[in-house]
Amino acid sequence: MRVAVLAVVLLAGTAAPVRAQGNTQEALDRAVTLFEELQVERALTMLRQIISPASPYEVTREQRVRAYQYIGASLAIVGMRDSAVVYFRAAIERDPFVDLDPARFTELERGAFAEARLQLFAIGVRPLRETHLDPATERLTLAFATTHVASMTAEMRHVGSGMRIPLFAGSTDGVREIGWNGLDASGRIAPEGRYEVVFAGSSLHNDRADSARLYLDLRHGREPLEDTLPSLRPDELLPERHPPSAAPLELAKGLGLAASALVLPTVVTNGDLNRGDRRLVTAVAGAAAATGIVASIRRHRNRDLPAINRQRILERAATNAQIVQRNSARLAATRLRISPAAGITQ
Amino acid sequence: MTTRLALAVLAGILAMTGPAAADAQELRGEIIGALVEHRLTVGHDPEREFGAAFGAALRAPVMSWMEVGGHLIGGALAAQTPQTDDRRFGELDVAALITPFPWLAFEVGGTSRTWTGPLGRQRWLTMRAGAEVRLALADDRVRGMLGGALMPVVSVSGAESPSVAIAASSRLTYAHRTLSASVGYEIERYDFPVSGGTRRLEQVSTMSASIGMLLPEIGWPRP
Repeated sequence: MRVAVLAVVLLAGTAAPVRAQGNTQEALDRAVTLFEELQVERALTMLRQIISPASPYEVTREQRVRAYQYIGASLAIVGMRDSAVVYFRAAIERDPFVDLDPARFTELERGAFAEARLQLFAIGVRPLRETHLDPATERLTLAFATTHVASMTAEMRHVGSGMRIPLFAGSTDGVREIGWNGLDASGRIAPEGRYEVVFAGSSLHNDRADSARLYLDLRHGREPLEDTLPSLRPDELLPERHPPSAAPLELAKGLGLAASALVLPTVVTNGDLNRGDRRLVTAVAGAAAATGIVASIRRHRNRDLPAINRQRILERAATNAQIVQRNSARLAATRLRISPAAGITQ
Repeated sequence: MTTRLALAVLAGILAMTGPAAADAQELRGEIIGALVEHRLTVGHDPEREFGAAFGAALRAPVMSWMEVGGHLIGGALAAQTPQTDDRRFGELDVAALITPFPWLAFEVGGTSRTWTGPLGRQRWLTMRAGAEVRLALADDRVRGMLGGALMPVVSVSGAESPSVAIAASSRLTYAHRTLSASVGYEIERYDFPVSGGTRRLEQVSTMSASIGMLLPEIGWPRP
């Protein structure tokens, strides 16, 4: 029972603002209908009630802009042009993208609206939606608007490094869309992180200036990149020459092998059978001794080791080239995930 | 019978090692020429025969640290002392070599040898276990080897088994690309137990030279 009561209370609590917005929207729709039926005075009264601070109902930004827009139009019709301009300015200040549809508004109303646009200067930016972008083929579209002709710059600033990516510079009037291909000023894929997109401009009609900002988070979608191998340090290189002791060592090995071969039959043979044919083992021992002597002479004349270091350096360079190639392929396949952010919180 | 058994063992080992050898392309074949001296005494002056022998060998790596191989060799020995008969002999040997270090190897193997003379035929079957020390020269292009082995199992037809059976060897192998050449010396000593107041002693010493090369890849059936 208690749960049911609590549910009813909660439902009543959440229903109230929805109902309030619903009332505002219904009133706004009725006022617009009255305006279109040329019952301007009644429409004006209803619109003023909507935006009145005394109104008990919640009014959203969009509803307020629309109300100001129709109040301005209504005032223009009844001949109160200056007041109409004031309300149009109020609408434009809140939403620089707002405009009067030529199919629904008269020349008189649009004239007052144009005057309002000239009197103030404001820059508006359309909110960003989460986007996935292939830098090779796609572009991110950013839309901004100025109330009248202005000199504008737009650039992205990486919050961490301060790196800047210019997006637009020039004169513009009204709504303009600019595209960004995901690259930085040097043509590389922009680094990950939070970006501040700054739209700044100054009026070419009066001396007013304005700016607008939006924030976005950029993430890379790709396989992780590999690190290349460092170059071989001097202490990592292998000896390139045999030590001076190499030649005597070769001789010692050959003679040692020969002596050992000669001793073998003496150790193994049975004395009653004599030692066997010494010529057989002498041939092998002689070959071992000769090998040791030749190897020693060759080592003495040439102490250079095979070009192992050069081979290792070339192998490492080839490996690094393959890593760079793989990384390039991964970078080329990078996709960007762009999502709106609240501000510089990183 | 023992020769046939040894042949079957060799064929089995080579069949097992075939795929590994083909993968590594390191099946090596060798042609062997040898000078053999046989000495024998049974309580009187030593008899001595000497002659040449020829044969072939096959070696194959099974793993990076293990190699198997075998050789087949035969020859005729001429009597070098009075009242000594000429002999012919044939020998089949199989062995497995384990190399835990580049400078050390352990070997187990078996040999089936047949001596044939005017008085008949005598078969020897020996099993051995040994070790060899290796020495690299000239940037590893030449390898020297010294080895020794015990033969705990020696079966001789028509005679008792020897009480002492040992062997020692030395070898020098030259390698250049796919070719190799080696020269070696081996001595085997067999001391038989005293029988009827006399003691039989035998000794076989061999100086061999061989030329080998890596064999082309063989299309072994894969499992």
